[in-house]
Amino acid sequence: MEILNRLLDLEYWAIAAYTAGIPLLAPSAVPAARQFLQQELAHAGELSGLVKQAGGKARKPAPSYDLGHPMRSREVLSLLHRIERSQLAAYLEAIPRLQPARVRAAAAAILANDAQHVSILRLELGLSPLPAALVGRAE
Amino acid sequence: MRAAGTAPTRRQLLGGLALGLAGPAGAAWAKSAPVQTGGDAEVLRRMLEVEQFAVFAYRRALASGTLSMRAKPVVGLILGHEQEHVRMLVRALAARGGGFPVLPDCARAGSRPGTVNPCELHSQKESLSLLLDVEEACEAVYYHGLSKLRDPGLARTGSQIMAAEAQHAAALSGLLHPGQISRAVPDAFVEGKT
Repeated sequence: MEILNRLLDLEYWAIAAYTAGIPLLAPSAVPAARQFLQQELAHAGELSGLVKQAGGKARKPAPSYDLGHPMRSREVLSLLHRIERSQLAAYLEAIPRLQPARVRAAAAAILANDAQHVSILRLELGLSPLPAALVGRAE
Repeated sequence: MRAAGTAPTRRQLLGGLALGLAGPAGAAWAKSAPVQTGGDAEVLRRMLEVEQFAVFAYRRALASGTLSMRAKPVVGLILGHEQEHVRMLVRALAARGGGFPVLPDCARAGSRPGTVNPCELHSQKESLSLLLDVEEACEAVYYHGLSKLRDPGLARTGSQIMAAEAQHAAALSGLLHPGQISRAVPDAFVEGKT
């Protein structure tokens, strides 16, 4: 339960970052960021549901998040990249510990989508979108 | 390339691999060696089976002469990833005494009329579409396998590979549909397609 709530906290952090960052992005990056925001919202909904199904209480978003002071599009993309990478690391740490197995698979489905976000963000930042054969090794 | 009637579609064939179905669809692409052990070994064998097919399909796409200068290095890079996945799975399966799947080849792939043959790719669109289907089949194998694996270490590695397959799918979709992010990253939950 606590593992899922920690993942939920990270999803809220990402949602806050995308929400605050989208107005600062170059127009070419906005459609992807909007889509990723919708997907992060879906992840948060799924995790909340899993916590409740397990008989727990899903945590709410914090009143505010320290997102630094990115001003330019590239700085926002770097922030989003950093947050998405944190999510990858958290999911990879959590997945082996999650039970029952269907919850593990649900978390992996979210991890894989976040890995796609990282890939597109890396492309926008001029980095290789496919840095390694195993996600979490080189992002 | 594809006959009408009851011949299985490419997606059905890949789905056969993804779910490990014993029917003719799955058997069309890869006739498996007898499974020696169940549990994690059986899950690993399914993963290896679809990864071996992925390596085969990527090699054939690269050899087909259909890929553009832009697509070729991406496909080559992904092939390297798939080969690494195969090496890891072979090691993990060998350690558990599992039976290895038979390697796919052109004879088997082309032995059934009406099935997509990775050895007969005629356009970049056809090649990339096949590879995208392969990636989605891989995702499905890992997604279903993760709910069965007992070893936590394997679950972590399986998740890492599944996420890499999702990145591959996004890259291939980007080549097929440039600039269409909704098609490159279409779903909040990556479960693959069967």
